[in-house]
Amino acid sequence: MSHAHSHSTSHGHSASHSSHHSEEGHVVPVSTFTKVLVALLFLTVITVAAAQVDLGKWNIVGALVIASVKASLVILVFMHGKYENKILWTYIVLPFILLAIMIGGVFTDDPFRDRISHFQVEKK
Amino acid sequence: MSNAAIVDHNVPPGEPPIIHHMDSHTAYGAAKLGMWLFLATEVLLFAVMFCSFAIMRYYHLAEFHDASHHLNLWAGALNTAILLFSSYTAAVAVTKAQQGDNAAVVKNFGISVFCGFLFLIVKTYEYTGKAHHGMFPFVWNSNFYEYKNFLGIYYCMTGLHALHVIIGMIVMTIYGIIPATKNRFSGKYYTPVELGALYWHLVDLIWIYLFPLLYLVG
Repeated sequence: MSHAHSHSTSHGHSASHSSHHSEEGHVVPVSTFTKVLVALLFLTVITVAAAQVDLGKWNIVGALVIASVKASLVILVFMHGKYENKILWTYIVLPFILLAIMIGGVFTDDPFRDRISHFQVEKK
Repeated sequence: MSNAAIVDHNVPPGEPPIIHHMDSHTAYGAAKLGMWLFLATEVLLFAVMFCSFAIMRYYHLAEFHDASHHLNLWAGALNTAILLFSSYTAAVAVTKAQQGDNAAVVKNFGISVFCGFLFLIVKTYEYTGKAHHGMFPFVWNSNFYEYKNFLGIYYCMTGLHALHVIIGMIVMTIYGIIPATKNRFSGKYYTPVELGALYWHLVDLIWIYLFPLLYLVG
């Protein structure tokens, strides 16, 4: 909005006014992406290796933790998340909160359905 | 927003001037915010499937464990590497677009699209292998009906993901590669490259979770 006064002109040279408003996104050097790619491939190898060892229920916990580290790397660096503002971060975080609520809701409900029906039978 | 339109007379002779609703910086921010909102809905689409995966695994733990051993681990691992690399080239394409290197955008997005093809070839190889052994979730044609819950969620999730791979390839080609061959991108204008790359990263992001859940821990 603060830029509006410089564009309120409809003269022929207004195009040159807007041209010095570049898109101002952060330019990430390719070398940063290369480091992240190496880290991602390394973490994939770790994931596959860890799955060969039987750790019981900790297998899936470990796999999800590594996957989340990889996902964070992709969001923060590949998708420029590190350089984004708070409004955009709301959109990044919100679906994961909703997913947690949905999984939390299903797991605190469905596995206990039989108890509810027992309760109703006992009441009769 | 001010109602003062921005009139761009920098057009080929004989054509009317372009009237912008906002300055390019505002337009860029709005477009990116809109893309992330769309990506949020995409995550929620897959969230429903991850949720049903979680609850079905809870009820059929032994089935999921046995059935996941029938998947081709190395095909899945290869596809993970392919997608991670293609995500890397997509990210590089954004940097190159910001630097105004249109030829590099064509090259890097081209590699990403090519990797998308490779991914689909490996996926087709996996699907045909499973079809050959009769690994279907349906009662009328399955040799592995005891794995119906796992196979059902496997085909749904990987199928929907493969659809997103195809859409991502189309998006990168139409909005990235073709305009870049006409030298459309510069440090002042690269929104389509960045948004196309964001979509492709999402495809990669989903697979990062799908691979260990389906192929490794079951």
